Amino acid sequence: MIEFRNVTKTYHTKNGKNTILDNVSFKFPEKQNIGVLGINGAGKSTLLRLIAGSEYPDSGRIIRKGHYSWPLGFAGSFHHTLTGIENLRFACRIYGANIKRVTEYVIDFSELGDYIYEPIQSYSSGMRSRLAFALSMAIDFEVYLVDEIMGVGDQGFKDKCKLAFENKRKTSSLIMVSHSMDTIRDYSDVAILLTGEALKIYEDVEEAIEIYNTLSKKS
Amino acid sequence: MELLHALSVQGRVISALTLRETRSRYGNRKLGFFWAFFEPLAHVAVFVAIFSSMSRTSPIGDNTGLFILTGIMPFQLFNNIVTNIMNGLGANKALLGYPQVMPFDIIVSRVAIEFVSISVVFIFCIALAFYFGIEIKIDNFLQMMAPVALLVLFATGVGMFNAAIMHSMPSYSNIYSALSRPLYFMSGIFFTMDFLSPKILDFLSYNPLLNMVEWFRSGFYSSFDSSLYDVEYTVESTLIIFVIGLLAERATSKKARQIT
Repeated sequence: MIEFRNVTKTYHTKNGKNTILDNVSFKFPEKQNIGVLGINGAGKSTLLRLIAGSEYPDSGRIIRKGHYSWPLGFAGSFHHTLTGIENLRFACRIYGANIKRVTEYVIDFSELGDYIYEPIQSYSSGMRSRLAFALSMAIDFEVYLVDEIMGVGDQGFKDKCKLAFENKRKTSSLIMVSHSMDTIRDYSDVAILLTGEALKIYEDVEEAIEIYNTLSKKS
Repeated sequence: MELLHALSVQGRVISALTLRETRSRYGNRKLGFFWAFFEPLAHVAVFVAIFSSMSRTSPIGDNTGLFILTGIMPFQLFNNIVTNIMNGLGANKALLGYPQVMPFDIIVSRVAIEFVSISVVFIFCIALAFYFGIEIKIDNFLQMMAPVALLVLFATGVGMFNAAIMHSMPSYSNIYSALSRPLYFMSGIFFTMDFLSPKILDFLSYNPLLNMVEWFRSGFYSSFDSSLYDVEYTVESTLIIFVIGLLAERATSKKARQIT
């Protein structure tokens, strides 16, 4: 369960204040996969970080019940000078997961080979996503917060992600940000459109995509 | 229940961070371990050379090396805690992406590692001195450890305060290192308080570190019991600095987590 109550969030950039949410009260639908749409700079990643609790709103409250993942993205939570396996161990420790079991799963799922013993800074963005995705699948979460990383990799890996996720369908749901409309269509039951300051939910994903398309042409 | 859960999460985070940081400091390179011992001993060696060239004797006891050691170790504990807190957030910024990892956890783990490192080095040096036949008998363990506990709080307060300023002014770290350099000569590493003229002592006794080192030595040496350090002032100034540091940390920790 995640609920925003009067949440305001702004960012200070070089071009001035950027408002992402302006006094927004919003209850996210439960047990449904949610695709988040929004033009560049609308604050999709920040929204995910707010949901995760990695960042706090300027004002208002965020009420969260259940087991949420960290925001799975390219920037990610991985420490760049540590190896894949060291990052994995750290995540296991803070989430109280079994290191041995997770390591076996990740080595098998991520297909990183010996790269798992190399520092993250030597990874390509695709490799980072594979590690993040495999790791999050090995630790069970109720809600996965996915920032862009689902649409990467070759078709084989994409299929594997999809399958892994379908197996978790009964226990887990997904809130995802993606620029790829195909990925959004693939995974989402409902869509949320972030229009700089407000959130709007669409039961019909296609309708949301259409509105998003007109918005992104304008800007 | 919720509090208990929150505490167990924080305990997990702090222990994971401590393990993590210990590994990156001592695990990958043997030099890290060596350096931890070498640095204080180098300071000791330099001062022993200076003292003997001036044919001066140790202010307390008959071993100059031991005297310097009992000054340099507390000073290094202070210095290392402050700089490690200042560098800690930058070095671990990525890990703050995990919602349950708080900037404060990084501070706690770094202070813990520093305290254990310095303690191990100190015990090792004492054992080494003992091995070479230098007579050592710790006078009053509690009296020796009380200023150490205060020193840890004091250093943590200064470190948190500095880290908070660095959020809006990264260059502050250079300013601090320049400003704090004189502390090395003002904290009693190579002198005791009664060595100073009353006028200078009046001024330098405002330095909590000098009081702490004097207090520490009073507990360490049976032949030395200074009446010049001010317990009340040391405790009060430590608590004030620590609270200021905590408030500064609270005020900036939200900002510390933002990726921009």
